[in-house]
Amino acid sequence: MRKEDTVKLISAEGFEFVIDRSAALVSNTLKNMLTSSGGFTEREFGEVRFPEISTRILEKVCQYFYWSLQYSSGKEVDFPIEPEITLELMMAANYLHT
Amino acid sequence: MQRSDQQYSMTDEATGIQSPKLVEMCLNAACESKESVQTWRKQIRTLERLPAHLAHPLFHRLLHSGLLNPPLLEVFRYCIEEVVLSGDSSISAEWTVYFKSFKYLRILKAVSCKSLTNVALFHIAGLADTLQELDISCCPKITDEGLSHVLALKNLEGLGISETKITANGVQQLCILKNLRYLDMGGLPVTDSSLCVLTSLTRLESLYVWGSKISDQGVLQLKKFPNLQMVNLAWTEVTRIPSLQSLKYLNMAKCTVASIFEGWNGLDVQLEELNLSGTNIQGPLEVIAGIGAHNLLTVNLSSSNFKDVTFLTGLSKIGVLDLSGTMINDAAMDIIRSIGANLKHLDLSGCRITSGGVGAFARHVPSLEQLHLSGTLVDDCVFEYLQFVHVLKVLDLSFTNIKGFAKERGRAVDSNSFVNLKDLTFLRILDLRNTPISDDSSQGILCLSELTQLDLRSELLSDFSLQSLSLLKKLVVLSIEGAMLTDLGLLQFMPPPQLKTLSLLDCWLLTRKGISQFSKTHKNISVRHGLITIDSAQKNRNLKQIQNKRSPTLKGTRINVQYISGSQAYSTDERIRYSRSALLKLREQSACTSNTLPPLLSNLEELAGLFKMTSV
Repeated sequence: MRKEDTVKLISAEGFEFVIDRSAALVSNTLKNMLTSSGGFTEREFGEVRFPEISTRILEKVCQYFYWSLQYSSGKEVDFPIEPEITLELMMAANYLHT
Repeated sequence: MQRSDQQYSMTDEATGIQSPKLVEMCLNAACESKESVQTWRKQIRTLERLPAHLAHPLFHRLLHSGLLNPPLLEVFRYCIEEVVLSGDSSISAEWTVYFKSFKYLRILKAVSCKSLTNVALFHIAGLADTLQELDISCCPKITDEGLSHVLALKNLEGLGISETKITANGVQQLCILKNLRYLDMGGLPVTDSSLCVLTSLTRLESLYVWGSKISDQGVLQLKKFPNLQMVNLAWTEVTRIPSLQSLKYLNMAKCTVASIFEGWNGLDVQLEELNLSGTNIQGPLEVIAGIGAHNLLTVNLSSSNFKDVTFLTGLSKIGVLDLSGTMINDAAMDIIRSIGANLKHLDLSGCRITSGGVGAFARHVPSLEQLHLSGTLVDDCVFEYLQFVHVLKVLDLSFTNIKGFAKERGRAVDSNSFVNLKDLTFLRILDLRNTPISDDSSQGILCLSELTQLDLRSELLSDFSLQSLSLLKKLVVLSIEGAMLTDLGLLQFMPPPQLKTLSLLDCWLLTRKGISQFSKTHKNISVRHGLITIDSAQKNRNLKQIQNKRSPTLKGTRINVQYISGSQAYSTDERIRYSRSALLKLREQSACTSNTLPPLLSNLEELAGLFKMTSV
């Protein structure tokens, strides 16, 4: 896999998640960061920091990106959300516009 | 993870399915059960940071799913600005105690909360610093005592107290709420003298005093409100309206009207919306012509005693015109032609209008989007004129004599009349209920491939029509009511991909078994039929909606004509027309055919034969 096809998402604790660019584009916020021509460093290095989002939540968000891609290709699988993380995940999702 | 970008985008385009939003899924997960609520409610810090636009849907979803209780309210202390409790009869003082601690509550709507008491309002008085809007309309336990607590809310800008037990004396005390801009006192015994006291509310923009005791004397006080824009005087004794320069909206439905803006010589009348629905107008010509309101955008004259509409001549800006249920006839249609330039919505239901009348204005209404001709005298010739109404979106031809066939000169065979509508590329909703449409003529509708909603109600329709209508691929709502549909026909029906609602009301040949079988195979489609009981949750929601829709004619700021659905008006049991033995035979036939599945047509022929038998 080429580096240009991936995006690195970094959680509050410094954990790095390397995911497909196509998966990251599910989020409208990331889409804007990675595609707009504003000279964002995010676009240059393919790296986005989320000082507000914890590792556990960011992992779930990444799982959602891939789940969403599967869903739009016609595969319907359950996406369980544990009650412990619903609120935080909701706020992260709200921030990421997804 | 191995799949590339392009593959995904291709599949995206191929299926076009959008996955549910994560925010939406989280909301659903949070409101799933008591247990899930118990888990997340402990995260007080996160709840305090929750933005209002997430907290509001969470709060109201919990409320509607019955998971919200007074102790749980506490966790929303810092994130809720707006609460809508309307229609919930469990709301009591126990709830309002908690609202007192809401730091940023601006809007509280508790319409039709039957258990809301005066004591409950005492707690709300603690919100004096933040609360700007309070609606306690239709709460029957609220009296003058409760209103005295409301007086403490000094920042209040909007107040709804209609249909409570508050008296004229209580209403007078409101004069100290100087910030009020919106006041709804509908259905209260407001008198001329109480209105006189309230003239100190100089910021008032909207005043609803429908069903009050205000008379022609009291209505003169309205001149003392410099910013008044909306007045609702429906169901009162008022007959004359003084000239009010800033007025934009006037509702005098069900009044006897002698004059509006009498003696008004100013040039600029702001009036944009006039509702005279169901009024008895004395000397209609003078009353309206006197207004000289060339700014009128919306006029509702439905069910009034109008005969002559010449006064409409100067209203070139008019967009919405409701003349339903009046005495006007074809002669008045020339007027519509002259003012049709901006007309978007025209309702002529129940008027004595023929196809020729429609022809008189059809070429002169370039913006017309909605046309209601329900219960008029139009026939199939009307389609020849309607083809010139290019941007038509909604067409209501229910309760007319539309057959679907038009006689053409020099031709032995009748031709499909719907074909005239083919060029109306914006037409989405077509209502043909209670017209003599048959299986043959329903085929003509198939040329209108853009339709999203089609309503049919005719006993001349059978399974054949249902099958063929599945070719209308964009349908979302389909009604085939009172038709001769069988279980077999329903089973063989291949619904259009986007169909959400299928109404089969009064298709009395269908059995419970047949319908549930259909529902099982098509889970996304909600089927309406007398034999199906809606699940209780949905029922509750429907009930709430009904409660929220209180007195629409009086309160609606927009003209909102509601049609009695054909199903209610015509719910007589069709079975009485057939003898018991013939009926049993039909049922048997329907049941046994669905088991053995013979070809559809033979089944239809058998049915047709049976009908002939019974009619002889």
